[in-house]
Formats: sequence, C-alpha cells, structure tokens
Amino acid sequence: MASGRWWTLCLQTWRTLPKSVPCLTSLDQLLDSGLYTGEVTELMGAPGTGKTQVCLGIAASVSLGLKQHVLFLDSTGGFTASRLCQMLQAQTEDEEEQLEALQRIQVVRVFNIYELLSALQELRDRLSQQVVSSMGPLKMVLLDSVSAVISPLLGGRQSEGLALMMQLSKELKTLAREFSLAVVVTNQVTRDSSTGLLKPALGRSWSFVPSTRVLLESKEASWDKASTRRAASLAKSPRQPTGIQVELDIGNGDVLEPSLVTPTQGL
Amino acid sequence: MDWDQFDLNPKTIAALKKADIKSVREVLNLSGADLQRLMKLSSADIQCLLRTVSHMLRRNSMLTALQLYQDKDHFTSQHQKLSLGCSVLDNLLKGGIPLVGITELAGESSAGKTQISLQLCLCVQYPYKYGGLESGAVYICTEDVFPSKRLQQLIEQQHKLRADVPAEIIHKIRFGNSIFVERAADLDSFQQCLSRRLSLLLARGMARLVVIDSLAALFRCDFGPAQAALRARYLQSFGAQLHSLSTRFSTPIMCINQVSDAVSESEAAQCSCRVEGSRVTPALGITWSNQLLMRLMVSRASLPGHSPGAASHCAGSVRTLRVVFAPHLPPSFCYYTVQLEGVKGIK
Repeated sequence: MASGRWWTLCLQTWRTLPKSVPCLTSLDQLLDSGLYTGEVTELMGAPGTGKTQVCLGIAASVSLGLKQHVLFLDSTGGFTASRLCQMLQAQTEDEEEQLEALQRIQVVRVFNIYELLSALQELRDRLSQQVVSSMGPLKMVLLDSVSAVISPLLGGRQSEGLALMMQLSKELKTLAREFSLAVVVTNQVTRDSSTGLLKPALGRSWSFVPSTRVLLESKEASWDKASTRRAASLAKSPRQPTGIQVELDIGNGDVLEPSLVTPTQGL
Repeated sequence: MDWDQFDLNPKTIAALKKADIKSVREVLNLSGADLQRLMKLSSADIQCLLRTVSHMLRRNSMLTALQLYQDKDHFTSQHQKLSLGCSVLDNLLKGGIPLVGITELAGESSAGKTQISLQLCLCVQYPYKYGGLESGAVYICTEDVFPSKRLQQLIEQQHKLRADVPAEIIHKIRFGNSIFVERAADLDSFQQCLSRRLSLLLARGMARLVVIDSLAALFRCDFGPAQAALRARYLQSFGAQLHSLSTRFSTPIMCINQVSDAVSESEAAQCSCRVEGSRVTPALGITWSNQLLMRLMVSRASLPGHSPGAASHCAGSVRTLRVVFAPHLPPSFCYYTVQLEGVKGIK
C-alpha cells in the first residue's frame, strides 16, 4: 500500500538524520542544540576574533564531556597543547581526566592542500577498516583553517585551484556523511571591494559547502583592557532563523556543564 | 626480514620464504605480475600482501594532544621558541617567537621595531640552550639603509645584555658573519629575493630567522585605492610563500609593519592602540592580517596610569609592547626601554 511505502521511507530517512553533538553551551543555543553530525559547519571571523580558541574549546568539551575522540587538522600552526590544557583545567580539577581528554584529541599538522588531502585519505582508510587503535570512536573533525590551505591556490596562474577546493569539499562532506562525523572548518573574511562590508573568504563556490555558518566578531574594547568577549551570529543555517546572536567569552573557553544528549534513534 | 611480524596469511608467508624475498623493498620493486609468477599465488593474495606491506611503511603522522603537551625535550617540539634576549619580554610571549608562522611587529616610527628585530638577529645565533637556534638571520630592507653601526654597537655589548650566557660562548660566536642583508626596493626584486635567494639560504641551514623591514613600504607608492584587488593578490602570494618557507624549514618570520590612522568607525573598532587620542591600525588591511599567526604592537607613549617616577632610573623613554592577537597568548602588554646594549623589558 502506498502509505506503507511512505512510512518505510520516513523510517529510513529518520535513521540517517544527523545527530547533534552538544559542545559549548551558548554556542549550542545558536546552533539548535549543538553541532550536527553528517554536516559541515563553518566558523568565520577576522583575525584575532577567536576562531582557533572556539575550535580548541569545542575539542576540549567534546573530549572531556562526551568522551569522544576528536581529530584536529591544524594548518596555521596555531594549535598549542598548553592552551588546550588550560581550558581543560578550567573544566575539571581531576588530572587523570585531563590527561585522558588530551589523549583523545589527535592532531595532524597540514600545511598545504596535498598534505591535507592525504591526511583525510588516511583517516578514511582507518575508519573504513575499523582498525582497533587508540583512535577510538571518532566523532568530530576540526579543520583550522581551510582558507590558509586554499587561498594560495586560487587566483594564481594555475587553474587547478578551484578543482582542488571542490575535491576537498567533496572529501569533507562524504566523510561527514558516511562516518557520521561533525566537521567544523574555520574560514577568514575579506572586505567586499564595492560595499566595504566583511564577507567570507573563498568565494561563492565554497559558500555552498557548509550548511551552517557562524560569524565571530569582537566587541568594542576599552583602551587598556582588551576584552575576551566575542559575539557569534548565525549567518546561514537550515534549522534556525539567521541573525541570532549570542555572546561568548573566549577567556577560559565558555564552557559550562555540557549536556549528554542521547541521539534520536529510529522508531 | 621477519615476515611473521606482518599480519599475513601463513600461505603468503610460506611463499615469501620459498621465493627468497628478503626485504620490503624487493616486494615493492617487483610488479604484481612478477610477484604472482615468483610466489605462485593468486592476484587477490598479492594485492593483500602489497597493501599490508605499504601500511607498515606509511608513517603515522597523527599525534595526540597529550604527546604534544608532554613533549618538552624534543627540540622540534612546540615548546621551543626563539627567545628575544630579555626575560621580561620572553615572559610576555611565553618563551618567545613561535618557530612556525608569520609574526608581525607593528607600530609608529621610532617606537623601537628595528631595535627589537636587530636584537632578534643576534639572539638567533645563540645555542638552543640559551633560547637561540644556532643559525644566522636574513634581514630584508625595503626602504631604509641597514643600521650597521647600531648592529656593531649591539654586538660589542652582547655580554652585558646576555648576562645569563657564559662569556666564552659569546666570544666564540661571530655575530656579524651570519646576518645576511638583502635590499629589495620594489615588488619584483622582493619576489626574486623570496623565491630564489631566501629558499637557498634556508635550505642550506645558514639562516633560521627572516626579518622583513618593512612590507608596507613596497605597496605605498604603486598602489592606489583602485588597485586593491591587485595589491591583495600580491599580499596573498607573498604570505603563502613566506608561510610555506616557514613551515618547511621551521623558521620564524618577523614582519615589521607601519601603522596608519583608523578613519572609519569599523576600523577603529578593530584596532587596539590609541596614541595620544588618535587611533592607529596596522597598514595593509585585512588581507595581510589574515596571513599572520601573531601580531605585536609597539608604541612610544606609555599607558595612562603608569607613574613616570617608576621609570626614572632608566635612560630613554618608556615604550609599550602589547600582544594584539596570538593563538597561545592572552591579550597583554609590558613596558620596555631601548638602551645601549639593546631592548630590555621593565618589570
């Protein structure tokens, strides 16, 4: 019967729906209960607005609170284990837990597109072989930052820049989809030459890749005290209306108790 | 070669031993068909053998954050930084300049940027134990003449500045020999310098610090507001080349930048330095800021609330060094003075 088939289709789609990974509580409000697996989320902002800090905070809270493994692909050289440790110390006093949390975060340094693609390929190999290693159940991949590897390729004399960018985006999206990972990338902003407003880097072709985009801005600081308060606003989302803003404090990673959300199973 | 350590079918291991294949190199040198013929196995088995052997060879590039955090002794660890030669300044930067990435030092003229970079050129030549990198430095001048007299003064006074280093080590280092000065007055010569001479010097290990003084000067004359796109392309290409040199050779890159007044409200909100009522922002805009890992700003005026009496014992005026953004440092500042022996921080 027709309605029977429709019901089965519903059930199948329900099972493959993205599940959300809650991380920083105020960011969770912005993202409708957390970062969704199976999708690419983008954080963009001017230099110094705290993109790397938010990524470190997300990694720390997922590793400590949810006890899931995290892969951090660092292309700027901005990942420092001591800053990560500071954030973990702010969340828990127990040294044992901190060390375990540090062990669940894997770091790969990739400084050009080819290294990045080969690291993603290695990741895919490991996940598809289900090799039992210290890898454990990987839930999140953070890439900081995607524009640092792609911008040198665009606009030059080589015409492969766009093709490589599309290959990278396909790789990220299929990884997210097939292995139920939440992928977070950071992007820079550039100034629009005609209007003078800030817009995300990498152009229109990249703008179709992430399904959610969050813009980070720093609030006006007083003269002698640089503020650690940042404003995060939703620029693109399939679930929430755009324009919502929350405030973040990147001083010690704005983390309160992360809630453990059991992912909605099928019926 | 002990084939038993591989995760292979015993039939494959027996065939390997019978065909007298002794090393992984032999396995990979022979083609699939040759291996089939030699070992008398099916192509599926050979594929499995090749895959297992390549897995063993592939280097695991992933490290856990715990390993990075505990990795304090390894000399290529992230804890290693290039010291500035003064303990107060090093404390502000938690060790010094990071080895990978572009660091910018911005400030108005005569704030002390050239002094700090000259001091860095000397500090890089000390041994690893004293915060240096045991190698030379490349100094690229784009507008002013290289201050060689001041460099000679600094070299003579090194024993006074670096009291923590034993005198015989200081005597042994030939400071003047390892500083390579390049002059690049326009974009083409700068491009040449980057692509040819710099990579040669870095590849030979003769230099492990690059100082560029200053990048804004190259763009001042030729580029009007209408050529913003062209300027952005140059800046991105320079940034990418510098970044790739920095990561390949683990070399800190220090770029000196000038400042201009912040005219609009949005620019004023982004800048973080106010000098005598006017606000300044580093030159070259957001395109260049995107290429940086860390930005430091120096200024001559002391901050309000600083009592002049405290600094009266120092010769020369008090200046401020502040961290504008860095992934591993909170926004902070400290005071310093420029003396005969170099730049020294004030506690």
